[in-house]
Amino acid sequence: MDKRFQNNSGQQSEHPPREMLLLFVDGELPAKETTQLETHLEVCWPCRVKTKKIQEAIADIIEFDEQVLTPRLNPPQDWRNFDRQLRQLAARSGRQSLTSRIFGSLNRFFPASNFFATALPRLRPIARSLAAAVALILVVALVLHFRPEPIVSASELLRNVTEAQAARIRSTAEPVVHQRLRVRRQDQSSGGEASTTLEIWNDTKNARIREFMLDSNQKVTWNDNASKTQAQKAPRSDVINELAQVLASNHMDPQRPLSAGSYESWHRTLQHQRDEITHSKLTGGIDALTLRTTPASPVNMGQFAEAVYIVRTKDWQPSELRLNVHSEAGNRIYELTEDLSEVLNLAEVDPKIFGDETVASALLPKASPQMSPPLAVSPQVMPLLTPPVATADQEVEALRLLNQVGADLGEQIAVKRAPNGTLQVAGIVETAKRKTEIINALAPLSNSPAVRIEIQTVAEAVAKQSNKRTPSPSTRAVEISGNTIAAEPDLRVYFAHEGEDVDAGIRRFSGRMVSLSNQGMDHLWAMKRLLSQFSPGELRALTPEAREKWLGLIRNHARSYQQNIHSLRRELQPVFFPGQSASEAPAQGERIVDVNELSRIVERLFEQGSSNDRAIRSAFTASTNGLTRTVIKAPQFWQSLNNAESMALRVSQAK
Amino acid sequence: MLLHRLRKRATTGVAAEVCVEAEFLAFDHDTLTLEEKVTRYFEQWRGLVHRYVVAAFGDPAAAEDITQEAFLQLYRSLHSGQSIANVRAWVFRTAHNLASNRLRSDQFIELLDETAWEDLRKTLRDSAANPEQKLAELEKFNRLRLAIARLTLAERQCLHLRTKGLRYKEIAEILGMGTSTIAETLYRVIDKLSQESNG
Repeated sequence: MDKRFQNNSGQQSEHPPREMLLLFVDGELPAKETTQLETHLEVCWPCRVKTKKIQEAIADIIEFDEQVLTPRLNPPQDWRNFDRQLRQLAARSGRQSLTSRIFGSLNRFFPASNFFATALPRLRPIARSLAAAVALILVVALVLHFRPEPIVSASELLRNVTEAQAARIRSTAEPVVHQRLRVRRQDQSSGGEASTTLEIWNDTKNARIREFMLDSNQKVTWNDNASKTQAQKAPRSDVINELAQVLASNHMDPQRPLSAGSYESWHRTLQHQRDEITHSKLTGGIDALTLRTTPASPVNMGQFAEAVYIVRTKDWQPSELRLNVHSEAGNRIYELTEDLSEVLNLAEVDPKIFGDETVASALLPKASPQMSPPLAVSPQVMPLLTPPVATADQEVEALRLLNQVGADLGEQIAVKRAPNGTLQVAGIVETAKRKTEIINALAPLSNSPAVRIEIQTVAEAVAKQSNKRTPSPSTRAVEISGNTIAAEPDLRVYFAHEGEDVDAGIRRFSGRMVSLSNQGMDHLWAMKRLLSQFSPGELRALTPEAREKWLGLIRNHARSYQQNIHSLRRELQPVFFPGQSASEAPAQGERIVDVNELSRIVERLFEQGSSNDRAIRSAFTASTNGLTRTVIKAPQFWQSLNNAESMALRVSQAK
Repeated sequence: MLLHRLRKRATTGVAAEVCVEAEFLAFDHDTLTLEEKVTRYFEQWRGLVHRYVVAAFGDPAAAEDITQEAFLQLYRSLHSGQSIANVRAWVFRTAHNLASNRLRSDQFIELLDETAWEDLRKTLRDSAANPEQKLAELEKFNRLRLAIARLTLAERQCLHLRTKGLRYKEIAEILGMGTSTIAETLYRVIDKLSQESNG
């Protein structure tokens, strides 16, 4: 092998050019040269030193980047606007182009790379064109063969409907949505039928909803002049009452039964389902898309065995909803067909329609012992025909309820927003008993259509996810073994002096230290999560009560953390820091009054707390590293505990 | 297959990030809609892209817009049928081009001017377990800060792309330069910064 190196100007040298050393460090050098350089480095001290210097320079840059630059370049937390922009873009763009689907298919067949970019350039131009043409024909044939109807996915369809509905509402100043629905119920066993027509008026700006039932001659037979007395005395139609119950118990929205948000809300409750989308024609030959959803697992009484949602293609207007409800006496089918849907300006609407504020909604189910009403009787403050959006206050409330049952410490329960604005409280817990506890704690929110609660036990999650890759629940095992603990010599001296059973004392003490530190970390994590839950913009938009509730949760965790650290110090002091005092009050800093400052302090507290936790673990759990004992005895560690306690105190007093 | 190929490449620390990318790409890739795919890409790389735009072009206010726009462009391109072999490099290039067009180099806002640095220095010193020991490190950071501020635009861009885990070939594509120029530039950066940081 040639032992000489060539520099950029072509001159030969005994030593490699310094640029080559950087390429080597960066793993960018071709294999042959790497071998040559490695051989050289084995024998050449100066080049080895130069390589080391490059590595040190890189280490300095990375440290600077991580400790100085990155904390100042904090990405905005308020990225949510992106979801909306992407949804709008997707709605505007419509279906993917044929070429896009073809390339998509190609990439599925050749996932490793871009087929055309890698395979074709090696061929001559004519051969390349021919190959491209043949490949195109082949792929078109495959696409047509395997996917004769390449249509939108279920989620795309529902999203398009939602977007279109929202756009229609946005284009009117004071929008009132007026809908006329034909509701038909059919018993599969008896063949019996019942039907009625329902009119819904929704004043979205003032959050007023009025519903009227019409008989076959389009004459109003219920709630005709919207007077309170008549409304209360008016008999509720069986069909409507039953439908309301059915919709509510399947997580659909009884006030917006045909909205995509309502369908999606039920759809999301299914663990496995089959969605089939086909082209269809409405009366008058209007093009439509039919989404047919069938749950893959057997359904219980009262649940949907199948749902069919028909949407006009040209304007994504929902046209029909068919629900096949499983029941003991044979299935019942409800058909809701939209006869009319218009968005009017409030000024165009007969004032009598909204004349009486107290008229109850016909589609709200009567309260029953098995099921509390899904929505309050008073009209909801939510725009019609858009998926229910959870408020930030509800988000804070969910966090508070979880905190009350200690479900925000170490358990895998996340409170987050779905792109459509609903709030998802999801997580995995150890036992069925714990699941019930958490679900009960969340009961005040469980009836809100904007909140989706999904708590599973580990066993349920494993069964459900057996085919999917999910993170397994993390468990922290702490091994306490009497004769391998790094801090053992000091503990042995201490407990012998105290006249206790030395081995038992060491085990108990070590276990307690690790456990205290563990609990402390749980509180630090909880604080960090709470801070990242809301963007600065969202925090500003919180009501004062909700903000105070949120801040209160952070303060509580800080207080608990401070107590943890205080206990740690009190117990560590006589053994490792006999000259210090554990009872001294932590230093008082300036009161935190600004969220940014709070965020910075919590971040620092988290770093310091994590480093303390590492020190505790290495000193009190099985370890072969004797050095760790000196860490726990170092005055810096004592100081670090003090600092952490002071910071926690400041956070616990934040305003 | 892709995962395997990238794992094989993941021999250095930098390539570990590429490996993460591969894990991500393998995740339910075929079952996701285009919108969902772009959302995942966005969630994974927005932080890095944003940090690059701020560090290299120095306008935090514009960086959020530019980052989002780069991912929306990704959606448009994939939607129109464009096949993108290296999505991460593509997004970085798009963000870089958008930033180059929108932000003039003389608009560069120094992220760490003297006042900001003094504040930060105080915070870092006070939070340290051993403030005296931290002083030496802070001095080194200060020299690096000043040295980075003196880099040319191209050098700064090269440096910040490299610290985000991009390989020379990817940086070359993003900046529209040859791979050997990137190697030379990066060496120059390392040389300048190591001289400065060692005083």
